[in-house]
Amino acid sequence: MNGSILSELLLSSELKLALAPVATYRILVDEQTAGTWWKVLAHAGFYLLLFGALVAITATGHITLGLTFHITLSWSFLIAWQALAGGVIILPAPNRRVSLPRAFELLFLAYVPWSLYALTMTALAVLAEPNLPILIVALTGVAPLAWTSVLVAGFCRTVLGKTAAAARRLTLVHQLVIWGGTLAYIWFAVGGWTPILQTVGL
Amino acid sequence: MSLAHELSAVLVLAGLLIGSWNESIPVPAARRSAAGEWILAGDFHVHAFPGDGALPPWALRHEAARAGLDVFTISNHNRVSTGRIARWMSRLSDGPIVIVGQEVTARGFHVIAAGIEERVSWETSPAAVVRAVHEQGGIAIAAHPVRRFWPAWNDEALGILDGYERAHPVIDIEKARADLASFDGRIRALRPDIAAIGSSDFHWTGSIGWCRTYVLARERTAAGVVEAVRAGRTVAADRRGHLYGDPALVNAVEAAGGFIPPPAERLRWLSVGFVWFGLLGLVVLA
Repeated sequence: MNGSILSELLLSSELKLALAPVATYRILVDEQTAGTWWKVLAHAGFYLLLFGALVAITATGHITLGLTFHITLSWSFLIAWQALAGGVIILPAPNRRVSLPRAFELLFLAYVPWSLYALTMTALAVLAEPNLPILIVALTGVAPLAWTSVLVAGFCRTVLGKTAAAARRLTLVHQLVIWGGTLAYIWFAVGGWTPILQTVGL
Repeated sequence: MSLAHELSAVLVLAGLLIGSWNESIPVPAARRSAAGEWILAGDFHVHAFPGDGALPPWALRHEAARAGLDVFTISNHNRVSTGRIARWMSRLSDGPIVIVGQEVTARGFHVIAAGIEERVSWETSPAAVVRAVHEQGGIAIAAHPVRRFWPAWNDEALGILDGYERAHPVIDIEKARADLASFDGRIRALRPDIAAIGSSDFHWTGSIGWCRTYVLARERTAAGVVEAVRAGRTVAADRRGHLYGDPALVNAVEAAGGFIPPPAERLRWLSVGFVWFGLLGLVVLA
């Protein structure tokens, strides 16, 4: 059995997408799978569970059903925000090649770099350095950010039927919505910009 | 669903069940000093959701109980709303005492304000912040007073502070440990009776109660805890169990059993490992 067949059998769609975005999105579009809102909810639910479980481990060093449930519930607005950002680029796309729920489903797959990043940071926080410096977390976050942008651009080209230039523009809009919301929450959470500026030494 | 996904999902579920079954919540120690004061384990510097903390107040209180704390302060940056929600919710069930607080976060200094009701403005001097906290009946604690915060702490501000963080997770870093010891020397020369505080500064990593404060309180209430800190009846502890503060108070805490670490959970690594590998499998395997 050669390597490509093995990887075809073993790797998830998310991981294949992360490694070859446009080619994998083409295959997923050509599958003509009917998307349903239940599947979208299942994807969203999985990402929330992933977030809740990893935060429970990072923050407390242990994990229980109750803790995971409460964290997942508290932070569920994140998925709503992701869906909103997805809606901003998916809804106005007339040349979309899949159904609306399938488009959301395929866009959610593009967040795999963040899943891998969260898994890595959790392992580091637990094993290597229990009190992981926030600056390291923030700086290494550039990698999943850039990687996700490549995947979203692939989504816009392949699933939404955009040109390369239009895909880049839409990716920028998508990331601006995501990061605009994130920065607004950080501003609220840390009580203004003073703590952030201090953290980066300004 | 493929076999790999099914196995990964089973691993996650097994990890969650083992973790839930294995969880251990210690019974509050109800220790008293020879003078009859309650010796309460507290953490005065904790961040919560919504805010820059990971855990919502109700989960945080559960974790505080698990860490063996009797009292904790929610001190989000320049906000008191989360602490007020937490205090309201704490009235619905038994558990650690919740004190409303704020980490007054300014350029050049941070102050933990505990036992307040309204937000304290940070756009002023440290001495003015401490006075504003006192006007609300609260206590003011110099947060993580490492070298870069020293210039703000003049003698006027130090003269009216109620406490300072002698133990903070940065104590594990050699340079910061020396800074905390240096600040300790400076402030104790000026105010020998000031409260030594141990705090976790818990956000997303570490654990609540990582460093803690033993408070010798006459009443087992939020007001009793605030009064004890104001009177300087505290001992700070780092996570290794080293105690800091007035030697007489350190002796009193040691005589009552000293530092009590959070209970060890034997299957913790198994449950965490199962969940982590299960989630990895769900993300990367077909």
